[in-house]
Amino acid sequence: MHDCMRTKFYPRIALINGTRKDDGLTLIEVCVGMVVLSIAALGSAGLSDRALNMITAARLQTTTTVLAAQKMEQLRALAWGFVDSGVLTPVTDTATDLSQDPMAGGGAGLSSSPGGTLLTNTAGYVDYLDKHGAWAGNGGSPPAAAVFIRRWNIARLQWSPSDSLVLRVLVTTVVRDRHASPSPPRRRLAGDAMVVTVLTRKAG
Amino acid sequence: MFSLLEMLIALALTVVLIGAAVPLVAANSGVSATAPEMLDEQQRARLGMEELSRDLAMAGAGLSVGALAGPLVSSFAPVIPRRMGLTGADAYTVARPEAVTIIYASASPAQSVLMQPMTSPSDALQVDPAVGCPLGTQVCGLQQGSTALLFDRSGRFDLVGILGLTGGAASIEYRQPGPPAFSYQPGAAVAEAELHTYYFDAANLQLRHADGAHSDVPVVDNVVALSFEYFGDPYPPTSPKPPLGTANCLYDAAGALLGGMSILPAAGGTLASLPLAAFADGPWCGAGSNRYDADLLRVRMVRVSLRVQVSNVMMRGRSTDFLVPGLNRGPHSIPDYTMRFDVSPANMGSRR
Repeated sequence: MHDCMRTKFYPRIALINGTRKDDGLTLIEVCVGMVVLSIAALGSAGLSDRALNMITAARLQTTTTVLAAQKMEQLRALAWGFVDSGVLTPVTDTATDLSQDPMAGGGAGLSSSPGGTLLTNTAGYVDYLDKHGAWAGNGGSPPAAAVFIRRWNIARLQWSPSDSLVLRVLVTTVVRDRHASPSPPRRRLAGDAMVVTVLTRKAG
Repeated sequence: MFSLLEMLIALALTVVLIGAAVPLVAANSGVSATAPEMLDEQQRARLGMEELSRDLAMAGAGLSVGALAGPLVSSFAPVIPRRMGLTGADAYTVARPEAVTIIYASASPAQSVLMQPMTSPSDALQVDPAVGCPLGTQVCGLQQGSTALLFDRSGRFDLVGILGLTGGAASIEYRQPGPPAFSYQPGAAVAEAELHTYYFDAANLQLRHADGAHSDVPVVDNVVALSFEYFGDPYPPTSPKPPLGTANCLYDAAGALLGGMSILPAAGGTLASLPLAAFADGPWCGAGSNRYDADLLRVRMVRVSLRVQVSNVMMRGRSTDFLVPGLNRGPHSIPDYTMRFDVSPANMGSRR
């Protein structure tokens, strides 16, 4: 009786090699399908989170780049030129401390920095910024409010040591810096910003 | 065909699946709303930074020909902390933290010197075609609608709009609210130039840009704070130095440097913080409504702080991360975004 009804109402039943073949779905098949569908749905649910994480990472990258450019502009604003008093005499800032905000005296200005200032927190060549990018402190270790670490290095250009400087600025986060290799050279990690420029004296 | 039992099991499974999917969909919906707002906020901050830093970096770019070739800061202050131009200009005694006017010569060959004196507002502009002008051009290539800058060693400057060209002379309009108070002599510099005023419109929460003429447009919406700080030379400026027999804000007619400008408290190095009050107490250089405080000739670096918020009030919370509180009490709030950046204009660098 049951088979008769299925034959009556489901005409797609076919005889293949003399055996009945029903192309409808069993409960097990439906369950398997639903599990597969669920896995796919769960996977796509993660995409939105991933997109948000990427936007957050982009914002972080923008912030570190802006902070690096800011320190570079501060370095470029220091005196590195000539005094024109009939004869051009080089003038170099050797006193400004850029690790304070606003900048103050008692620093090294554009004097060549010791080695490794990009690698470790070296007083006078590092400052710390809070989550808004505002100055939060300086010295050998970051304060509690610090989110970003900004380090810089000043070196004489090999081919023009008296008139040209190589300036490097690195900005990273306190969290990420814990994962950086302690051995030189300091490599840029994902999300870090590293800016390099050459500054040359000019008259006038 | 399914039996009743199979149907019940399938229904139960469906209910379980839907139950599990609802929180996921809800979370996704929150994320979907957050992501574009966050991106929009970030892009607006970037745009504001790019506009400001581009023009600040150009500040003071001067002429490449004539006796007054070189950075403008040798002749007048090209960064002034107030609104200037035909409309909405502040009095010259005002120094505002949320407004800045930037002046520089355009990257244009239209640079020369004045051929005929200009002593009254009705005088036409006539330039010497033999000094730096491109061959075959009328009025050195200045076009109708462009802006020209006039200045000399006395510390005065004026911006004029070119209304029309007639027989080697240009009719002009002054880009300042009051009558001009100058008397330029032949040899004064003339160049095509740009004036950019950026200011914070607190009523509409906008960063706005004015060109000193007839354009005043919003650049970035949902700005909640904008401020400019200035750093510069602790020593008093030594230029512009007028020709002997002429006095200005820095020199007497005999060519002696006037006193009255102090060496600023040494920050120790070669850059000092320049408080806004220092730009509103004189001595005053220039003339007419384009007068400016002589301390502005010290400026070497400008610090900008631009804070933007998300436009959707439902995405703003009530903590200190939000200057203008919103209605969000859940997890998907987006804090204000602050861009702090410094610009050291190449043409306003150390001159000592």
